[in-house]
Amino acid sequence: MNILLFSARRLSLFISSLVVSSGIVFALLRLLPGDLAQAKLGIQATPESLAILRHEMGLDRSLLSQYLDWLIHALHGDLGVSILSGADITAEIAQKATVTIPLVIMASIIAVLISIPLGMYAALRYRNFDGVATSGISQLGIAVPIFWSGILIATVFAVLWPLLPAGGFPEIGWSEPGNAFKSMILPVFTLALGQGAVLMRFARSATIDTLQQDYFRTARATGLSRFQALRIHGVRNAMIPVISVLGMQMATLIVEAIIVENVFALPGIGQMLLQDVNNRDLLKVQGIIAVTTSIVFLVSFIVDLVLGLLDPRVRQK
Amino acid sequence: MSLLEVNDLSISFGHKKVVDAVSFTLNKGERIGLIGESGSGKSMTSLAIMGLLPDTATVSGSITFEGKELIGLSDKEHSKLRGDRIGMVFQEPLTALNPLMRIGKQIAGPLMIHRGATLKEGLVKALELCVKVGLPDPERIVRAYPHQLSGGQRQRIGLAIALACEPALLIADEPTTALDVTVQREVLNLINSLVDQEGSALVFVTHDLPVVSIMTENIAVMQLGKIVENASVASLFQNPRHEYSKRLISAARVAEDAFSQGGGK
Amino acid sequence: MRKLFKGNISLIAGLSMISFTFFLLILSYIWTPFDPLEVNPDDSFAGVSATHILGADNFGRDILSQIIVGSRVTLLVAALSVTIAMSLGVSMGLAIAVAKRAYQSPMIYAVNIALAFPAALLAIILAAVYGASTLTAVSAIGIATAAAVAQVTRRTAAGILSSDFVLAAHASGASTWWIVRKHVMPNLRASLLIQASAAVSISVLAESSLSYLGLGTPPPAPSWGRMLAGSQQYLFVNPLLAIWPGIVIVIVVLGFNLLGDGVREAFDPTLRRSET
Repeated sequence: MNILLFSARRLSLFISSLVVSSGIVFALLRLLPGDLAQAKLGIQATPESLAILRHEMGLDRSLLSQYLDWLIHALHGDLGVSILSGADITAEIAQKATVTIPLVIMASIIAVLISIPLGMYAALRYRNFDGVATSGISQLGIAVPIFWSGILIATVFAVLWPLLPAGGFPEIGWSEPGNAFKSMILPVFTLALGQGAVLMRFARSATIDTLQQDYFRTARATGLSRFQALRIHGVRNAMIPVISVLGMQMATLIVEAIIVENVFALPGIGQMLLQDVNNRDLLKVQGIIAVTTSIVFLVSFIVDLVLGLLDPRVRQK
Repeated sequence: MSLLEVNDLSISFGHKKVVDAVSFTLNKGERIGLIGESGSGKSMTSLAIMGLLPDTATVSGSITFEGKELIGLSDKEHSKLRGDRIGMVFQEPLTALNPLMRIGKQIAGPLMIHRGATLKEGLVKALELCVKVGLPDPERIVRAYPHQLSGGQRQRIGLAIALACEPALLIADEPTTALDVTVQREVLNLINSLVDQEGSALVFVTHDLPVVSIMTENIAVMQLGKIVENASVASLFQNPRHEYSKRLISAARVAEDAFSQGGGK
Repeated sequence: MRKLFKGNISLIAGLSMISFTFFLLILSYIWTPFDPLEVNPDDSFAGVSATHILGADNFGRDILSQIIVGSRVTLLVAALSVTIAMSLGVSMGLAIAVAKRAYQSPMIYAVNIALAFPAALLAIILAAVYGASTLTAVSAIGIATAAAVAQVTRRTAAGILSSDFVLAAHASGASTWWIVRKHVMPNLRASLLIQASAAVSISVLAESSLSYLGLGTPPPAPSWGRMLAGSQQYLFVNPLLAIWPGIVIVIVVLGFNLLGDGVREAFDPTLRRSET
């Protein structure tokens, strides 16, 4: 019953965050000099035609009523149409998401899978050369900008040693699964390395923390070797910070996915977003940002539930 | 043959010597108290017996347990003794248990490691052990997490873990220091009766002379890494030879006087 | 002072890397091998040589000169956005920590919302409205980082405020303001230094990413991120062009990260104790 109450409280926080953050994005994008009607008709538009269009688009109403209007439509899955192309925004995001979402999910999974064992290894051997070297590599990984590691990875695995495509994605997407998957390998790898380096640092410090805990000594006193004690008592304790950091990192991870998509010319949400920014297609920018921040809040909601399951102390609070 | 023989044991960290040529012996079922202030080397001595000293420690001398030399023993071999032939209870009941693991599984641990018990068998045994250490409602306890129990209850769990495999030697490192005074007495009585019942030998580490005097027949007084006096409780109180032992005794008397004048008991 | 540095490899390495960066900045005002913007078709894709120590790009512009001058944009954006982030973040964090409980949760809630917008995303939004510029980059990085600083400051300050010596000060009638000044600030100093150096790293990474995406400082001012974007089109012709600007970015970011680690090591007595 505790877990239900905990989930319900967390769910209400999730929903209110969505509403508030989309309101902020809405306000930011409407603060510009000029407006959507101007952007649509160009500078030659007559004041009369502008006024007509403004009325049609509802721009002459108060900001709050415009926002509520947008929000209600958005909750029904309707983010409006692009000012420039007239295309349905929801449909376009859904189509591009078939690239971005697999990218982010695969990269997160790989990042967790490499960071926990490596972090634990670095912690276990933190006085030895190999342990220090492992954490040194993660320190370096954190300092490398994601677009540079992408360029380097492309240079090595696509240019100097042409194993995989340096960029692009099949026209027909996942209907060509082999090639689609091949085009995803380097971007996923790039994203996973960047995240993995960050997560590894947390896995390492969580493990060092565990090694110094009294309960670890108790476990050793029952006859477990250091490695066994770490496997039984350390993995879960190392996972808690890694998962909560992954949740906090979600926003950054999405931004990095946007950048990686541009490095590898992947036709995902990120590439579309940058084109729309350059075209000042504001309604579409608003829609895309609303979707990405919803994903961020959704993930942090899920992460909190998972932490509640992993850590009995969280449920009680 | 004595059960435990510590001979000329020295432990140092870098240039700092924390245990200096310590020797004592303990026969089967015998008890000894190691007393001294913090930093006197008493905890390091007990960790050396357990083989749980930090990697950075350098150790010399000899510790034999059941005829086996423990110094220089591989961690794997030492692990076979830990939790099986030698059990240990630690000072901090609040942190000595894994917060993410149910109590039952933690008690079952040593049985699964040393007796090849399955988790199911281990949990059945855990229920018995809970009863043995005087915990009411064992069904609830084994399913609980550490944060749901009181300090005294957790220390009883610590004792259950240490005694699960009926060890020949129990090391108790300040087991009651972190507990309330009323709970302290209960836990001490429990240790007393369980050690009697099992016929285990006991190394009792403390800084508290009155506590050690009700737990053991012999006391080794430690100061700055050395054993300065090793005597029976009675002769130590009647005729303390070392200056430091005298100070310990007078301090204990002052505390007792203050206690009785304050109208306690 | 010597004791501070002794055995603190992070601090020494970090400060050396940071000195190197500032050396580039100073050098950019004194001397560069070429005019970084000078187009020289004969030298297009010149390799590493005595004239062009690090080679030249597609227009024949000298890479080393561009890297030296590129330090200006990076460090300017970092300095401005970290100033915004620290002043805004620390005051918000402290305000939340000392606020009445009823006001605390809405303020924490606001910070959590802000944390869903990392620097680059905020910069993209601002660029959509105002067009990309140094100003949009600085404000986005500054505000986004301020949220992170506010969160850490609040936690650290709350920890200090709930400690026994603050309770004792309260009990003896000290005002909140006095406690913040006399107890919280001095104990916060190391944490602030660590956060500031982390903020520099974050803003250098964000600035270079924005320049790479074409949303940072517009051309012609040379910037490391834009140099890398340019190099990517010529990976098949001259992959070396993709190396140099990346290395300097890593040196700056690593330098400030290591500085943070070094400060933590120097100030955290518990960390030192566990090493003995």
